[in-house]
Amino acid sequence: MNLKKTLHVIYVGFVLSKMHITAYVAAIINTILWFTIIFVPATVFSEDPKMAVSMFLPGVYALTVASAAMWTATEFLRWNVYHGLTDLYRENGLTVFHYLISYSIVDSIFFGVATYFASTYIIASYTGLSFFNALPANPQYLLLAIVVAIPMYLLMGSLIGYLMASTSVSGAWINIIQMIVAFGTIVPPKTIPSGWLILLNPSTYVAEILRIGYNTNTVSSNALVVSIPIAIALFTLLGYWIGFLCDKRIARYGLEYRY
Amino acid sequence: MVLRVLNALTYREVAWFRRFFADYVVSWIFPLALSVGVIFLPASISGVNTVLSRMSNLFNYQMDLKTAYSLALALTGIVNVVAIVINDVIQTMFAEFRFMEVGWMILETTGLVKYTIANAIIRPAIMTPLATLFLAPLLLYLNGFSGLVTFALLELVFIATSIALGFYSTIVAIPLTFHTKISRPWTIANTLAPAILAGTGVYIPVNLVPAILRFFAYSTPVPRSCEIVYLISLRGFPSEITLFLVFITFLTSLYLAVSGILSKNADARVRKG
Repeated sequence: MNLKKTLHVIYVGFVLSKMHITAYVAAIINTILWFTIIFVPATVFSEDPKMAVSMFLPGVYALTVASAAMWTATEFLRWNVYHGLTDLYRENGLTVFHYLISYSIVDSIFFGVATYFASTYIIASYTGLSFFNALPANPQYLLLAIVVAIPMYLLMGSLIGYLMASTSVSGAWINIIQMIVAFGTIVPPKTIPSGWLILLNPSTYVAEILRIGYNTNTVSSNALVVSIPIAIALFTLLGYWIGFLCDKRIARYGLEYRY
Repeated sequence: MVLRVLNALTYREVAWFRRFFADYVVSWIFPLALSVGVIFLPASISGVNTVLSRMSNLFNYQMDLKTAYSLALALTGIVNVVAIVINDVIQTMFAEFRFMEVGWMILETTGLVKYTIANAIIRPAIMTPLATLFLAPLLLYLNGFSGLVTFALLELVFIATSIALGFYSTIVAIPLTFHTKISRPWTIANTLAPAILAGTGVYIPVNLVPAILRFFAYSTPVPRSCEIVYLISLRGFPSEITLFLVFITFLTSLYLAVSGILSKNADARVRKG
């Protein structure tokens, strides 16, 4: 896949996102409100609200981006099938991986960061913290988290794409997978008996990088920072390979429309 | 005639339960995760005792872990009722008249007023027990037989709330379906449910919620339903339940009157073409 093609699918993603701007705004509001329902009690019931905010907010960003990836893959391999759009993409040599690339920038940077800032504002207003106090003390880690979030988006989406291509599960099951992904993102790795196991969840990596900015990371910050280039390469290549397998499977067995 | 409409809608619910079984499974697991999260997420930072002490202060009732979790579970029932009723009543009406093109079949058989009333009662009354059924074994396990009694009382509150919300959703659904050209009604339905829940606070007293969020919640019976759920979970059979039933009957009648007027106007408008 060359640079020209990559830039072109990203451009297509921007155009499609512009068409769905109201859906994005509604999704941001919706996500914030749902997070409010669980985070406000979780913060209010904690002894140290600032610590709770520092622990949970990085997970909000990572889970938002991971969820967006999973729903994008579901859209491509479930809902779009009915309208013939999946076939249209595939006839033009585009797979679920290309579809994910097209939305990756908008979802990881604009949607993810907007949801993160809005959640920060809401949680800060409940806890009496100022908005800026609820942001990471070292903002450069937010930038690093965004850089890693893009390949993580591609990998998470491709994994769900393969699940959708090889089973007949409906889109509703993504809600259950989202809850599993919450372990390591929203639920910090330090609360799980074997914290390192949580790193099997790629979105934990993004949450942990952002947690360095808050000084609440479980995994050593040196190990995380040093492994960023490896993680970027690994997530991208794995995502590409799984996307390729997914397309191969569709070519062989077809894809039945399911809600 | 009304019986035939009720029959048709009941048949539809049973068929949809089988078809969307996966969604029901999600609706049982998701709230369970919420109820565990509100207690054990803060406990992972501050310890269980701190969480219990803060909950006891907020609800003005000394709680142990079992009571606190039973309360969280009971309140989770409200989350399910609001999320399912608001989304489904609005989206079903919109889908049947705008996407599936079965609106003309409905209007040939009956009037829009009867259809919307039946839709507002039948859908919530069937879906609420199905969506909150998971509470029965959990409350039985946690509290023994008294847990089952609590569940029965909670179910009464849930069904009364869901029918009121059925009419409330109809008031939102009619303008969306018949008076606008909106193409993504789910953006409104999906946002309204969490807006009501966030405005109520659900797991925290409503007075801790910022005024701007409370606006949506106070247009519904949900804050009062949450209060009565606290009381049932902590005190068993509170005397306030009678007052709650009077309140919810009044609110349901009010919503019924408004949705009736809106349906009648929409019926005339649709038949005129």
